[in-house]
Amino acid sequence: MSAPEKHLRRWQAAGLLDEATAERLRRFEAERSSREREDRPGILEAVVYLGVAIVAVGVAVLIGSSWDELQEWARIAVVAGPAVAALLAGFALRATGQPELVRGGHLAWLVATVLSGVTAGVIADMSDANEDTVFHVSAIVACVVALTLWVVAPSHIQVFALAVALFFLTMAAGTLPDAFDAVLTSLMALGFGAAGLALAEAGLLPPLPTARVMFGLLLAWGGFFGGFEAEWLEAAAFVVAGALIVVSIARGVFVYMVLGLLLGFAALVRAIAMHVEDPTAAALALIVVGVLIVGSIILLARFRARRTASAT
Amino acid sequence: MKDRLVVAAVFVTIAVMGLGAVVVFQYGRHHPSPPSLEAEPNAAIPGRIAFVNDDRCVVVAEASGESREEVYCSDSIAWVSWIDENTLAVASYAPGRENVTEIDLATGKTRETEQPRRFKASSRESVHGEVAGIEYPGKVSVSSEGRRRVIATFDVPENRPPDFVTWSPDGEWLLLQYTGPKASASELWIVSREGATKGTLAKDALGWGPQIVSWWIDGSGYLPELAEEPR
Repeated sequence: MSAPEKHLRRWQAAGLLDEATAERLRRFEAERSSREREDRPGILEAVVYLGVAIVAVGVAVLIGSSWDELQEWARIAVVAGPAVAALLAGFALRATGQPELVRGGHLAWLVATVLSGVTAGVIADMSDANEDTVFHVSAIVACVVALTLWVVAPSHIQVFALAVALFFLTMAAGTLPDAFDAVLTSLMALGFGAAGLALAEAGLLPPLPTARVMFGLLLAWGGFFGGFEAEWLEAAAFVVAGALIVVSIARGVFVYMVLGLLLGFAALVRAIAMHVEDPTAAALALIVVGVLIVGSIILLARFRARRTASAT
Repeated sequence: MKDRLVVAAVFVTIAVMGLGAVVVFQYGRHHPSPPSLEAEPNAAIPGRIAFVNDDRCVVVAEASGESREEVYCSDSIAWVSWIDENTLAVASYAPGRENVTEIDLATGKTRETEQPRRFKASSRESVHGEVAGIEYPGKVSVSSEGRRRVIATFDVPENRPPDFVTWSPDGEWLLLQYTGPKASASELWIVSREGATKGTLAKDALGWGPQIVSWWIDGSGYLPELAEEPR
């Protein structure tokens, strides 16, 4: 006997629940558990993942073992072929309508996104482009494919692919100047991260949980990375950390709190490492950081408890 | 779907604005090369310069930029030097030694020398006793009698100054080599000792330093020097 059924019988026996209501509750629970079963990965889904993984490994081994011997057209075909196959497989799996196969289709699209970027890079390389241009072309194509697939069918995996592709685009942007420019990369990441979070919170960038994590990471990384090259971006890391914590409290989103605190501490440790030369002062500063860590854990625990209380 | 297209438009706009601003405003880009002497030859620059290009070929160019010609190719060139006004010596790597081939520029004939000579590092001191210097970030200076003067400043990226290659044999010009951050080949720049005249002789030189370049001026000889004794 399931747990809800036990409760229902007990409440009926105690005269708290009439038969009609109990029946409605049974139907509701039956539908809910059916949906949950569909959402759980099954054997079919596992086989799809296995197939995608085997194809990906096969392509990687083929490329690694015979790349030098391949002619130019063969080099392009060996990455473009699987890219198109993965794209089509994604559409086919999605068309089945079965949740587990649909998720497998999204994974196939992730592979297609990666291979599209690689294909574009190979074509650029064949055209005697320099390595920076190869990187630019790969990142742009991967972004275009990731964004298009997310527009066609937003899913957790597509949001992940989009955020990662945008990350590579920020790195590619950094290589546009003569010397790699961390500030430029950082500013691009801040732009994409902030836009992604704003759109996610506005309900325009589903699924929300993955969008929050991925674009939160992009924003935090953008706030942190440029500080190695520019002092004013060191301060920006603290501003971004503060903003994430404020948004976390305002919107009741735990993941922003975690990201904000991690970014704040990383920025603090970097500031100490880069600017405090006196060992005693550094030790004291580290103690302060330690106290802050403990304090923040307490704050986090209280915040989570308050959220749990308000949810119930 | 409309909402998602709006999201896509936002990301595309950020990408286009960010990348476009870098490309349009040339953010972080440096253009240090002086005007091309091939495009606008300068007859005031005397002599001929032999250098190795990135196809591993020895090129003989009028220093004025008026003409240039490939005279010899080899995959294993170690150094090149003038011997006299019509003869070049080209050393090639071989196991345990260097083979030196002499090229008669008048006839195009080549011959292996029996007693190979050795390349000698170029001197920063000119025949006039002036000393060339390269300073951060892209300044070229000339010092003499305890006085230093900056004769040219190039807009080079950080940590990418041009390298000194050699003085001209008459001591009136400096030959510099510059390799851009994303370039596969090097550029050869000529600067007058007062800095008033600057020009790019080549953009396809090998980036190996002074041993791939040699300057001949009639009546003044050649630089960098070759050591007289065999290896």
